[in-house]
Amino acid sequence: MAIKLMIVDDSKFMRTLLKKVVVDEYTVVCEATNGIEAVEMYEKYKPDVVTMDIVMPEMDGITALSHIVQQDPEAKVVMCTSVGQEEKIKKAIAAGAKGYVNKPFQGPKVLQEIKSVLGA
Amino acid sequence: MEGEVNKLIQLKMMGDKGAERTVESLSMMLDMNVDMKISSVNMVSLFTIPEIVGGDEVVSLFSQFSSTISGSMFCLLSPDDTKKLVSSLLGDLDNEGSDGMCDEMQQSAAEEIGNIITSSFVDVWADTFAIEISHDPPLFANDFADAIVDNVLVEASQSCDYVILFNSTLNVVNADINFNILMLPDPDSLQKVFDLFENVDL
Repeated sequence: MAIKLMIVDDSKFMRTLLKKVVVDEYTVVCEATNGIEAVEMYEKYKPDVVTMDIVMPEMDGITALSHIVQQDPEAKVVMCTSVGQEEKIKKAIAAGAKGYVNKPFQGPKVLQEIKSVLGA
Repeated sequence: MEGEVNKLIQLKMMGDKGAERTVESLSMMLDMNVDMKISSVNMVSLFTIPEIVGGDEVVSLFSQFSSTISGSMFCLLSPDDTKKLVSSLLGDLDNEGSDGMCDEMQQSAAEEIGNIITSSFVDVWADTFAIEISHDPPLFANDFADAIVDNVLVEASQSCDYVILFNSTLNVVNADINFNILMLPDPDSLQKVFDLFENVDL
């Protein structure tokens, strides 16, 4: 059965890039451009895994992550972000992130992190 | 006097670290060799900043950061350099037929470059002081450089006449693309920065 993935990033360029990376392995069921959309779409599409940016308008990725985890404590979210601050990483993990990839990323690294999160 | 010089030296070290991290990130992102040409930090009069940035038409990727330390970052490139850069980044995703202003995808790619540059600088500050600093998604603008910085300067002028300006020039080697990165911490933040320096060993 195909694994459903949701991509959350305000950048059209990054969403396109991520789709190219994951297309052979996962089915992208939806894309969100901010945290508010991410929470709504998670509830609607119930993806198996999510890639989540942090810096977004309307609602940032860590806040969105908290709402998603509240909805679904088993949610598998990989933060995929330019932010590499220690304190932000700790905050994301504390909020329920299962993986963390820094931009700019290499495609294999993203796939490895998603696989690792799904396998955990 | 020695205290003031030490503060500038500490700020310069932070600026250099931010520029170095930016060079690493951009090199990886673009898969090209990126060099830092200049990195400086100076206290400048607000009124000289338009002169520093010049009056040419530029593409600006502007972001504000906030927390204990707040301020603004501008990443400035010529329109031609922007097109070269995003075309290189987009590769087969690029719409070669577009001319003039960047199309939506090109603009998005440019904004992502701005995002990574801002994060590179801000993360250095955050990790050095063990704090969190958030920044906004970058805003893309194509205008004359002095007009672009005007809003920020007007706001800054409410509280001061002089600001600390970080100025880095990066060069994408072989592609002859030049970035000018300006970081302006809010004047209110600077005292907090100097207080935080007391607790770290740079």
